[in-house]
Amino acid sequence: MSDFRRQLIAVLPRLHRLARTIVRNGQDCDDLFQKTIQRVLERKAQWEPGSRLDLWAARIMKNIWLDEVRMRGRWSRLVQPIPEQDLLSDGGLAAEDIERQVEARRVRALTEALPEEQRLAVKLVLLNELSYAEAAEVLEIPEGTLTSRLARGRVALTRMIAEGRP
Amino acid sequence: MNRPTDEEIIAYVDDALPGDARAAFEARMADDPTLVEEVARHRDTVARVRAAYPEVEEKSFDTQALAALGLGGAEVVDIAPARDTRRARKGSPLIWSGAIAAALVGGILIGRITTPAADIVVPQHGQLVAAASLEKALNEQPDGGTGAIRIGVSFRTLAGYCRTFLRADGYAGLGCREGDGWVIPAVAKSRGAEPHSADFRLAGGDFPPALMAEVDARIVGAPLSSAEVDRARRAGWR
Repeated sequence: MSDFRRQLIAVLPRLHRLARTIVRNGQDCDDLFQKTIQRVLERKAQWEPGSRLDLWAARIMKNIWLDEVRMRGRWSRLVQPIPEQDLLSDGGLAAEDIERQVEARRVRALTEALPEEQRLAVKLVLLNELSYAEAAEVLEIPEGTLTSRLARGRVALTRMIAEGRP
Repeated sequence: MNRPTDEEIIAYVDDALPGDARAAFEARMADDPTLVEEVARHRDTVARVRAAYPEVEEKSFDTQALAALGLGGAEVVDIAPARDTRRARKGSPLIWSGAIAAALVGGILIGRITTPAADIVVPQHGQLVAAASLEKALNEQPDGGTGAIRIGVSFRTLAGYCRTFLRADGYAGLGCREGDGWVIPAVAKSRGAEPHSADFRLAGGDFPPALMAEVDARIVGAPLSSAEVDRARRAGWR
């Protein structure tokens, strides 16, 4: 097995986690992940050995996703929005657990409703625990742009959470 | 002194300010209770967002998952002389993809496999077909199970049904229904499997990644459920 393959296999779990962070539901995640690996394999000659394969592959994933978002944007008037998958039920849960579920769902909805560039910055940093430098590299933007998108997204979220927005 | 920007507040919350900027920020907080409150609100947002997205278990990738991603590598038996390109997927003139061709390097060639696999596959009209014992297994056995030949998965293709099989000595292959028999478009030696016992267990990893890639290239929809396998079996795999 080539060195490239070995290295790629080593970062697969990280890339899969990233796909889960980027997309909005489980089905899209596997789809995005598979498309990414396919494109990574097609373009492996473009990777510079010694550079970080995970970040390079993450950039490819980001580009596939943004293409997808743009395409969906064009079709959005024709396509039903995807409903939140997780059903609320009282399946034997204590009242505070239900409350916690409702709150988690509200925060997810607010986060996912951020403008795409802010949503990605917020999720990469808070959920994928990428450093600012890594997140900027994945999104292919200067670090200053990343911090500005991140700040706008976080300020908006903080305000909406405080306002009790549904 | 100017009030810190939103970027600076967020960077402070994220512990991303360099040492001196951090010290200056904290000095500012000492004089500005509203800044302390703002930092607290942002910390609360971070905690809420993290709590809203449950940690999901990290996905692990076995040989089948790797093969499905085109990252498999196994010894594959080159049955090119016997292949029938009419069986190739629509729109693709080749049965063996580039990835499979790469996996052939170091693989076993047909001349060498003929002996060990001769009792399960036989050449006929320029292709390999299932010999009696394998044909019986492909016709009658459910997926999984025990026996000298196990069936792995069964699935539909554009042309009909195919099933993967594994023999106790590690030879694995793909059988596709054609007419009254089963054509064998791919056979491979499973690297890890050395069991000779008649009741060895079938594990996903027993199927060489390259073989699973062959499955992946042909499958239409999801693998058949056991009820669908049973229906197909009763209908003679037509």
